[in-house]
Amino acid sequence: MTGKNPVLHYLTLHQAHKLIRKRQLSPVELTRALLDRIAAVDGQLHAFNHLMAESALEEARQAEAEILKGHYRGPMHGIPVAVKDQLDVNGAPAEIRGLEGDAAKEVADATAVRKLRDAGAILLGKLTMSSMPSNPPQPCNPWDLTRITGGSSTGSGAAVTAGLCMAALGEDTAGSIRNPASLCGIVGLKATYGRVSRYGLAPLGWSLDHCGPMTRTVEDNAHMLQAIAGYDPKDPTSIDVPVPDYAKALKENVKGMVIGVPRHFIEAMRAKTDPEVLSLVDESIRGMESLGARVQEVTIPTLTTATQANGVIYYNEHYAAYREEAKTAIQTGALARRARIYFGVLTSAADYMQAQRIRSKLKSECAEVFQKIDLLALPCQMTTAPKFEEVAPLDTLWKHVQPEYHSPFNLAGLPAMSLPCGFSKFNLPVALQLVGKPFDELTVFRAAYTYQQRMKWPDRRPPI
Amino acid sequence: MEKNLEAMLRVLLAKEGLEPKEGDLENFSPLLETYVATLKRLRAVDVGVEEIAGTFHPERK
Repeated sequence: MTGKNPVLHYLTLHQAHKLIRKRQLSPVELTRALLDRIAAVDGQLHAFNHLMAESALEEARQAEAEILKGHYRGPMHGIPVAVKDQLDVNGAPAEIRGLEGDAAKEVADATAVRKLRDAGAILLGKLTMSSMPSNPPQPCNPWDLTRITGGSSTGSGAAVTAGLCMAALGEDTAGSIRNPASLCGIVGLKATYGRVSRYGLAPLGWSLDHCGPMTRTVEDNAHMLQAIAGYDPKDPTSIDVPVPDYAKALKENVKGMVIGVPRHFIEAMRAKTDPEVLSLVDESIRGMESLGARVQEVTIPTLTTATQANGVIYYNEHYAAYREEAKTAIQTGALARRARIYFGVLTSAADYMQAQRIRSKLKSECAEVFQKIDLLALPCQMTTAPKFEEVAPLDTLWKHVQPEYHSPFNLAGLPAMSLPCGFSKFNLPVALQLVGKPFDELTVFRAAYTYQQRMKWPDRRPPI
Repeated sequence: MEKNLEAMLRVLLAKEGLEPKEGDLENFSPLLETYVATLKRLRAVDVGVEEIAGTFHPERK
C-alpha cells in the first residue's frame, strides 16, 4: 500500500466515526491521510476531476473544533467524502453542466451535498463520470488497472474502492451506481425514487435519476443514506415519507425473510451472463437460505422489456432536458452524447407514452409479487470488469436496447442495492443485487448486513 | 443504414433545426436500427388498461 497512513485510508466510515466520536481520531489527521492517498495513487486511478484539498482541510479543522467543544453532529461528522461531477457543489466546476469559473461559484450545493455538509462531512472534491465533455482519462478499476470501473459513476467506484474517500455520492439512471459498485466490489444503493432529493443533480432522465451512496460496507451505506434522505420541497418528485433510523436495520437476522428469485428472467439472460457470476450469485442466495431466509421463485414478466422501456424514457427525457444545447452537442459532444440526441429525436410522444404504460405494468407486477416476498435477489452484472480494449465506445448505449439487470428497478423506482458476494478466479468482484419494496430500505439493509457479517468480504483490499 | 430510416432521421432532425454530424449516421447505423426495432417491439407489448405511470394531481404543488 502507498500513502503515509495506510491504515487510516482503509478505515470504514463506521470505524472512523466511532474513533472520531471518542476523540481518538482527528478529522484533520483523517483528511490528510486521504489527501496523501489521493496524491499517491490517483495519478494511476484518475478518480478525481476536481480536488478541493484546501477547503477540505479547513472543513476538517472546523469539524475538529466543533467536536472538541462537545458538538458532535452524528456519524458523518468529520468524515471525508467525494461526489460525482453530476452533483452541484458551490464553488466547484460542474463539467457535465458546462459550469466553471464564476458561473460555478454562483451555483448552490445540490441538496444531497448540502445535507452531507450539514451532517459535518468533509468534501474532498468531485469525481469523474462517464461522457464528460473534456474527455478526461477514464478511471481505472483498482482491482486491475487495465480494466474499467463501470459507469457512469466511474470515479466514485474507483475512489471508494481504493481508499481515496470514505464514501461517495453517485447517481443511477440505468445502473450507474450499481454497475461500478458491482465491478469494483463495493456497496452501491439506488434508494426508492423520491427518497433522496434530485435538486442540484444534472438530469439524465428526470423520472429515472436517483442519487445514492457508494461505500465499502453496508453500515457505511446506512449512515450515508441517513444523512441524505428526506423530503425536499425544491425537488417536485421528492416524496414526504418519514426517514427511519437505518442503523436500527443493522442486525444479523434474516430468519423468516422471504426472498424472491426471478428465475425465468435469469434463465433468459443466461447466455449473456458469465457462468462464474451466476454461480457466485446462486451461492450467495443459498447462503441467505442457510441463514434462515426462505427463497422462492417469482415471475415478473415485464422484466424482459423493462430495460428497453427505461431506455426510451431516458433518451426522450434526456433530449427534452438538453434540447437547447443539441446543436452544439452534435458538433462537439462525445460519441454517446450525440447518439442520445439521435435516439431522442427518433422517439415519438406515442412511443414515450407506451414506455410509460409498460412502466405501469411493471409496477403492478412488482407490487403483486411483493405481497408475498420481502426482497428480490438476482445478479447485478453480466460479466466481471472487462478490459478497456474490450469495451467499444457505444457499448454503454447497447446496454439500453436489450434486457439487463439494472434498469427495471429504475423504471419501477424500487430500492436496489449492489452487494459484493465474491470474487472471480481472476480476483475480480461479483455482486448480488437485492431489491426491496418502495421505501423499505430497512429490509434491504438488514439482509445485506446479515450477508456481509457472515462473509467478511470487506477485509480484502485491491492491490494498488 | 436502411435508406428509409436515414431519410426519416434527417427529416426529424431538420424539424428540430439540427443536422447529424458527418459520419454519425453511418457509424451509429447498427445501434439506430436496433433502437427503431426496439420501439416497434415495445409498441407490440400488450399494456391492457394500464395508464401512464405518473398521474396529474391539480391540488398538489
